Amino acid sequence: MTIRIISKTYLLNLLKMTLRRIFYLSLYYFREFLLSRVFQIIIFFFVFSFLTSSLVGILAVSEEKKVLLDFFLAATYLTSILFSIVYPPLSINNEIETKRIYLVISKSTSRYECFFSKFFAFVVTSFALVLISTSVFFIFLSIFKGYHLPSSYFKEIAFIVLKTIVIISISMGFSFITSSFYSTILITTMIWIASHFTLELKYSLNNIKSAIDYFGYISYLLPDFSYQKLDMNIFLHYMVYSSAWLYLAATIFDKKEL
Amino acid sequence: MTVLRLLLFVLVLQFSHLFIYDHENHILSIYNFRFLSNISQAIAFCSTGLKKEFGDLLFIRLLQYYGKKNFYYDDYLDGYYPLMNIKVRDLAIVDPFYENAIVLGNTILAFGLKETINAKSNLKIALISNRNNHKYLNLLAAIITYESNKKNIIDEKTLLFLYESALEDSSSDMFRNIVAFLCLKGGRKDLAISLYRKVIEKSNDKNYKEKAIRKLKELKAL
Repeated sequence: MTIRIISKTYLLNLLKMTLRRIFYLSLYYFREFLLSRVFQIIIFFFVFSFLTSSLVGILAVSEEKKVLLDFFLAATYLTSILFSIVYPPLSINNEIETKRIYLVISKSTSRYECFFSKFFAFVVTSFALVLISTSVFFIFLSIFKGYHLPSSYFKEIAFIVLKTIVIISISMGFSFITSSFYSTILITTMIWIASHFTLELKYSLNNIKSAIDYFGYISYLLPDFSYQKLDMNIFLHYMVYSSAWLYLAATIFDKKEL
Repeated sequence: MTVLRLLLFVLVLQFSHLFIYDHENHILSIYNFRFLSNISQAIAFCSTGLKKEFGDLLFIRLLQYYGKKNFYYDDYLDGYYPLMNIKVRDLAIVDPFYENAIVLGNTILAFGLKETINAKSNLKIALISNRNNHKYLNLLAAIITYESNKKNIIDEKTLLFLYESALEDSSSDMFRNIVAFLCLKGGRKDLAISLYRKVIEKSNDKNYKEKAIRKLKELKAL
């Protein structure tokens, strides 16, 4: 009975220490991103898309609010996707090339802790980017246009964050599979684009007429980004899909010779 | 061991698709984009997941076209917009949920440019994936009423389509009354009687019920 209590306390302490290490490492990687060149480029891209979106809204006359909201969502989506495709492979490759990863692993941090701290840092950073963009749009809409953000806007924001998590997990997976970050960025971009046509690939599978239609089976290896509205089924699909990629990436990183 | 892990990875990827297997996707797939006038632009937008934004752009282009006289043809008189139908149809295919834009475009087509047939077909395209949308159904009924007043004929096919929509539980009493009136005008007494009976059965409004009872007495169906 006594041994069981000790081991329970021991496990809890171990969990707390692991989470604390992951938290501080994530904070370090987050700060690293804020000081990087990629952050400046992403901010420039965001400002450019924000200005374009605000100008397009004027052309819509009676539908200005809807067009502004749609284009602001698009700007948020593209900014977060740009970050999730470009920064994870860049950061991971940089750490491995400069051997900085040895500093982290040598300090009684397991490879899994290092891996998940990077993942959480990327997720928190993409969430922070989405939060910044939503705040800017909220200020612009309420002060300059007199509109307010509807509740459905926040559901769309949650949808964007989920898609970003999927793309981050894919880009992290390919970062450890390939040694070049250019190929990771290219492959992740191709997967992101192809995922928007998963519905059509599945449709072609149901109507197979020639051998080339069997290529449609690749749709079951891609995430499904053809849906426009978030619900429980799509949430579960994205969570299970990104878990599979994280499992693969963590396993490869654990066995990789750095 | 590596092969097993890879196999597990692929299995979990496929398993994730089970959650969305046979999941109803209310938006038309891009398979229907083959009817668009500019498919390459549509594919470019859809490949980045910006289908709604493309619909917004199409609406802006529609406004720019209609707001400018003699946009493409210098020798046509004022009020002639030959590309209007194409622009409204593109909008109905790309984003059938963009209600205000589709209603505006089809209203211009039907009542401004007198292209009632095109307006009806565009609304039916939008209704394929946005079923029982009352704005579209009411506009369709209004177009048929306009046609019947101008040409003294009723489009029976569209009338039957509206009749089936009016029988749905989600349709309003006002819409059922409009369709019943059109059925009577088109000589379809039987359809009108069934609609008035539906109003009596489903309506919570005393006025609509009394009106339906009065109409059935006139038609000697009560």
